[in-house]
Amino acid sequence: MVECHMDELTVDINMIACSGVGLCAHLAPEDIGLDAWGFPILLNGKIHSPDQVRRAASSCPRRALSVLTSSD
Amino acid sequence: MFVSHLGQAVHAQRFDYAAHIDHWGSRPMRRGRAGTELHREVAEVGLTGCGGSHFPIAKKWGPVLAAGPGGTVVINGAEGEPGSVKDAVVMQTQPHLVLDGAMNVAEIIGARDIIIWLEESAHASADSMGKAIAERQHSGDPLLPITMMWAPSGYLSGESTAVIAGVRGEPVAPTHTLDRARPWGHDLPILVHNVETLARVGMLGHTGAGEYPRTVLITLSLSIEEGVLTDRRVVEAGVSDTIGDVFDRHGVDAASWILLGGFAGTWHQADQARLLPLAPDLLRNNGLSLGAGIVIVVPRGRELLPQAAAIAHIMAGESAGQCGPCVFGLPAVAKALDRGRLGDVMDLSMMIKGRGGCGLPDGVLRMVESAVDVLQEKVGADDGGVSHG
Ligand code: SF4
Ligand code: SF4
Repeated sequence: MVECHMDELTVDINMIACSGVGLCAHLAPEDIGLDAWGFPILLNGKIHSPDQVRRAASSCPRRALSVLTSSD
Repeated sequence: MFVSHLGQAVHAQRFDYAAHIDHWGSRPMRRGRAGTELHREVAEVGLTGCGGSHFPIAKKWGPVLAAGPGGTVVINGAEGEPGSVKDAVVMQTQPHLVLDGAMNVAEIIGARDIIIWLEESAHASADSMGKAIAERQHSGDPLLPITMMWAPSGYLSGESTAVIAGVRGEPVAPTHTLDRARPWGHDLPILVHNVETLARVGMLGHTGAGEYPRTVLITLSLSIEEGVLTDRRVVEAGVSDTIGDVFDRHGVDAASWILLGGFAGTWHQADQARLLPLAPDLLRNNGLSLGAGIVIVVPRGRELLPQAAAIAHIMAGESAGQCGPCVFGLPAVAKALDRGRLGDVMDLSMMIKGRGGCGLPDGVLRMVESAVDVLQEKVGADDGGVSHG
């Protein structure tokens, strides 16, 4: 991905689909944490590590994470 | 001269089709230029969604029109919220105004059918709407095919993504959508409008923008105990009125607290609430909303916190059980309220806010946070009084 798009990335969490397994927080620890009940919570306003977040999104067993660019 | 106020009308008997024609006249067709004209007038009078969203109706039609003809208009009569009975009253007194509005919208967007979406307990409303359909068929006035569909009763029964899911035969629960302006996805548009909103589109079709009454319908509940509302009445007020005007007109004088906008609304000290305007845009400038036109009065002598806690428990029970932060977070908030741990309440709120799959948790948190705010404000004011005394 081209660097200059970095700050336009956002992550959408489909909380309806998410089952709170917490895999995403392991794969993208810089951007995704877990709340008191084990559900993902975004840690930063801007994505720090797009590669981690993309990997977390494609690894999510419930397909609950979408990485979006602001043009989406 | 039009005697055109919805509120005057809703306090009358049910208008059958003959009475409707007598009062409003027959519905002007809204195809082509006439549709464009009504679309413009809807924008001109600033009609916004009366189900709680207050989203501009003319804007909501934009993506539907762009999608081309076809699709469905849903008359959403599932109020869900115990503090709102205005749509039931509209359906039971002015069913033909609702049908006029739905037909107007259907012609403007080129919809092929209409669905009436009701809570399964809404027998009287179903009866009135069903009769209205029969009355029109007898008179030979054309209606699009209309079907009634039933939602399980509950707070989320009328949530628009849940309605769309239900119309498609899926479970009636909120769904996730990345494109809020096109919640129907790639299929034909499913346009969901609140009953009062459609009655207003119907009314506007008869009156035109010039004579259109700029009013709001309010369900005024005069008492609340453990989250259960009693003494509910539906009243109409002008958009230039204040809450105080409504109270004066309806004899509300012994109030301590007000819950504005329903179970997802905001708490106010009654004396301060009197000054609040009813106009949706003015309220919005203060970060407030009437929601689905809801004002709940806590009578003098009753505490605020137990009411807020009871509502938080009820709403936690209404959760559709789909999203972790809502399923686990709302009961935790309600329990913290029970114990009077306001600091914990605010911490939990920070953690949950913005993370539900639908707006329910954020609505509850708005209500809860405002309870904490006004209580702390009051403590501050009382302390101030002491130190200056
Ligand atoms: S990996 Fe997917 S399902 Fe698991 S917690 Fe993260 S978003 Fe939820
Ligand atoms: S946020 Fe709560 S009420 Fe809304 S869809 Fe999720 S679980 Fe259901």
